Amino acid sequence: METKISKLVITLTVIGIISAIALSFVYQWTTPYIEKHQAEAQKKAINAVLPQAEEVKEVEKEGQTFYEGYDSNGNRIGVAMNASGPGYQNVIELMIGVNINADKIYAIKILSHEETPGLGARINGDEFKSNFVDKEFGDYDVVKRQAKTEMEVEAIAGATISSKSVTSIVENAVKQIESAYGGGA
Amino acid sequence: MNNKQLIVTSNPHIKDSTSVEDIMWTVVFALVPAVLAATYFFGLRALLVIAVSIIGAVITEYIFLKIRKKEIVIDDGSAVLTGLLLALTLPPSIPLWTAFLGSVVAIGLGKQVFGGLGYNPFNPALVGRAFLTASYPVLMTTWVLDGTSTATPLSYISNGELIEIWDLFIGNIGGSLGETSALALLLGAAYLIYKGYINWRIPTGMISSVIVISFLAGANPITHIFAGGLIIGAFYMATDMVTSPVTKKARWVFGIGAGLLVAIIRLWGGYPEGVMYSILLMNTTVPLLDRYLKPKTLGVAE
Amino acid sequence: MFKKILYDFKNGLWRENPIIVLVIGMCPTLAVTNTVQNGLAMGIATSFVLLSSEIVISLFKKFIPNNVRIPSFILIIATFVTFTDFFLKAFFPDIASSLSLFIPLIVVNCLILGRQEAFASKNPTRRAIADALGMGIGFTWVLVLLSAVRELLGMGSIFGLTILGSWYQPMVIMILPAGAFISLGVLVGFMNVLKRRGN
Repeated sequence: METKISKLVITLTVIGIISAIALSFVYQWTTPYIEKHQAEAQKKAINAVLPQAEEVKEVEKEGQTFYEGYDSNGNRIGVAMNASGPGYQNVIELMIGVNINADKIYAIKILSHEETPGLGARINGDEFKSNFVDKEFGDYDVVKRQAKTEMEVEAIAGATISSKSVTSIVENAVKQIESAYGGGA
Repeated sequence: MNNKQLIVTSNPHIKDSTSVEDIMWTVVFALVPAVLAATYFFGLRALLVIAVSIIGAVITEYIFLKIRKKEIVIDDGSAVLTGLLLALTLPPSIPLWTAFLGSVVAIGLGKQVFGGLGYNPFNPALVGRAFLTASYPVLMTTWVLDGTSTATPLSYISNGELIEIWDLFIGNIGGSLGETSALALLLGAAYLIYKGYINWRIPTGMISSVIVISFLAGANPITHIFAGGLIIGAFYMATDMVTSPVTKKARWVFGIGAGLLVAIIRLWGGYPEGVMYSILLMNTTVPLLDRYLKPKTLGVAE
Repeated sequence: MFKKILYDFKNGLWRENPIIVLVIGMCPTLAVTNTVQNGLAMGIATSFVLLSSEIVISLFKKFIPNNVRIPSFILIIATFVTFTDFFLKAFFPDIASSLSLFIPLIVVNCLILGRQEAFASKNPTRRAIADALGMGIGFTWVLVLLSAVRELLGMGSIFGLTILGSWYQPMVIMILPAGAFISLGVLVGFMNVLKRRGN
């Protein structure tokens, strides 16, 4: 028993239309919530790397979005940006906040990663992230012992690759910020 | 009427008086120099790790055979050998329970779940080691020599530091228990090749391809031979009769393939050492190699 | 009638359990069972999609021509999956971000399409509901069991609560993909032993 082509087309079209209408309602219903969560997550990340900022402004420079943090007197105290780069298994995304007046990093926050649990995943731990707190701008060396100089970063034991990935993402981000804000001068 | 079953097997139909026991215990015997070297360089703790690992392997073998209601064949030495080989690939500072767990996994997951001796596709000792490496990466990469923690020769190489070839050869360096002393391992291997219990094609293919690749890549081939687990892997693990191919051509392919993988992982991969994964990977190819590289049958029209 | 429905319901729990007997839906089974929270959320999300699409398809089975039944099923399933994706992102953002890609991937879970083809498109709605509930709960309990074992061994915790103290060295392999294969294999083997004993 052959079914007519027209019937097949009509069935699929009807299902498609009903599904599209239903989903557009769901989309309208959920989008405000989804956007609210994303904005909150973004704000939390910026606050984590620019702790003293009272007000945050979004600025486009050289095709890149920067978040400028101002204190209560309206002075610009720092700049934050999203940065990402290849990790051991997948892209590592992080937020970095720097003090462009003193050429120092405030802090970094890892937003997403897929490093090995128990090893590379420790890039998200305070012990590793503290490497970058109040660090001067520059080219860093990843070392497998305690960092002795300002330009050294202590790697996580057994996770040198993840440590190097984060360090190079940070280096590149710092360079981008420096070039956008007339760095170092 | 005699009701003996007619047994049909594939070729080769050569009978030999050598038994599984003979081979296994001879290999264990051939590893005695390596055990002595490990004890000399790393102290009595090395013996303890080896003992715990062997006990774990034997107990697991016993329990599995009992549950499966099979004949208890502990005295064939295969579990002892697996435990011993696993222990020789462990760092000297490994906690004893980790060594025990490793040998339980080696025999349980590496061998008995597939049906016991002769049915396992992967080298059981390496399965145990792979399990430990993935589970306890920090414990498995902490190397101690003379009470101080050191890097392995392979990480020295990647840091561009120099080490004495002689230290490397006799084994006075950081590394796993049994892999450091190339001298002791080669003594045992020579004896096994003389007895005909291990095949020379696999280690030759494996080591020479590591030499060629490391030379072409501008690394020092001699350190790449003696550093890390290449010697113990090539002579004692890649040649495991159960998990290596039987035909000559296939053995060459197996050995060269494993060597290529070792060199690739060491030189360009994320791990400093690649012997374990390269042998495990090549183990998976064995059925195919044996199928496609069998010798031409005489007298058959093409 | 009631007996038949009970039979359909119990079918998925044990006798034809989707994971340990039919061995379908392996992608989420292996990928997201690293913590109990993920396993449970995936089980519930899949059960929801399974139940709603079985209801819709068994209701409208007479209107769907045989030649285009598979695309029709997929369209209906995809609608419910997209709904689930939006819903989780809006109201359970933590779960949505830890399951990330695996929620949209429910669309290709062969358990769901398989049940439409094998059951919902041939049976009345009340039996389809019983089947979807049985299969969904059968899928969920295995995911939860598997993820409990993996989280306990791999992180020493269950549902994020530390169970094993600091003396426990987490067996990292259990929360890696390799640990999923090992624990699923051991589980299926164990269930087969139990079954053989039962017979």
